[in-house]
Amino acid sequence: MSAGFATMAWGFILGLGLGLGAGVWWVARWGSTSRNTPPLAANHETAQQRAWRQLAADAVPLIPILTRQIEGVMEQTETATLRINTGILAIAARAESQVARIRTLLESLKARPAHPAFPIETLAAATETLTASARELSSDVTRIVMALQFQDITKQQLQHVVTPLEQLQASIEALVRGDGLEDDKASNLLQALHQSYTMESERAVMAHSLTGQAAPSAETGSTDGDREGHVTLFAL
Amino acid sequence: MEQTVFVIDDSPTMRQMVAFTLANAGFQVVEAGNGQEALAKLEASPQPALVVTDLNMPGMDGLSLIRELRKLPAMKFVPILILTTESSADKKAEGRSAGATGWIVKPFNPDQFMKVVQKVLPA
Repeated sequence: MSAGFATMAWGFILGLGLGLGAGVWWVARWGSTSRNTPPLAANHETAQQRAWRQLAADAVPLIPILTRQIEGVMEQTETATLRINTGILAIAARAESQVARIRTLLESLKARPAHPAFPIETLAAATETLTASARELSSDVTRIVMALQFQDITKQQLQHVVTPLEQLQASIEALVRGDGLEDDKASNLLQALHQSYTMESERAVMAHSLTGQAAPSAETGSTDGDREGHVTLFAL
Repeated sequence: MEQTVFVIDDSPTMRQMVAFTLANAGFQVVEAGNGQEALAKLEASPQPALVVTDLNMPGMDGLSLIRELRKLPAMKFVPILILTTESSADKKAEGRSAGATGWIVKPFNPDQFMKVVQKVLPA
């Protein structure tokens, strides 16, 4: 479910980003053309140019709304994950401590003179069953801990959407103010986006999107280098 | 006596998971949300036997923290593990030259993580 959500969100946001990116590129081209056009010709703005100008003006307030929405999702999932995590870890700790108490009790009973009416063997067997259950619970907790790390990873992926959106907003604002953009500004945005990525899967999605290929799924997007828990030791 | 491990990550959930894993194995854990906080806490805490740090954090990032730690004589040979989503060879090389002992890509498996911890800690 988490991977599906992340893929959907990522697809939507990437599409939005690329769409706006294309818009900025076009407006940048248009701005550059405008700067090189005699003042008289500038008055003859085409309908298409007016539409792009309007789109740029609309995008300025739109982007902060989108980034706040994304940040809201990040905060909510973090709070929820923290609560789930706290609950799970508390259950695991409690179970472990209860088993330890029973084991201690059993040992103290074993140390006393045996009483024929007291079923010490039954208690010992029950303790073993409890210990095995606690071990299973510990394995379950390990799996849950692994799964809950999706929140940290998703948060980072979303942050890598928020930051370029803010950069895009600054570029569009500059255009709307009439500051214009350098012709290579659009490619700088893409370069900055690529440099902000920390996961191979993010770089793979970008590479596929730029070449017009279907974006890889979260599973196929990862490479050997970023597989779960991959360890590199430098020096011992 | 319990050994102390510093866990530095800007994500509270990640800190919680790593701290729980280490505390379960008998370590005393000191948590910090970024490099600066970790350096401040270092002055008031027992000498750590191990440092586990994230890479990308607001304020002071993991690489800057490692460089600062390695300047301290007491921290020169303390193992430092980087626990991060970053997996590029370039970044790993930066980590190595900054003085990191090892690199673990998130998400981590608690059992595997503890094996690495035992491996890097001096016997």
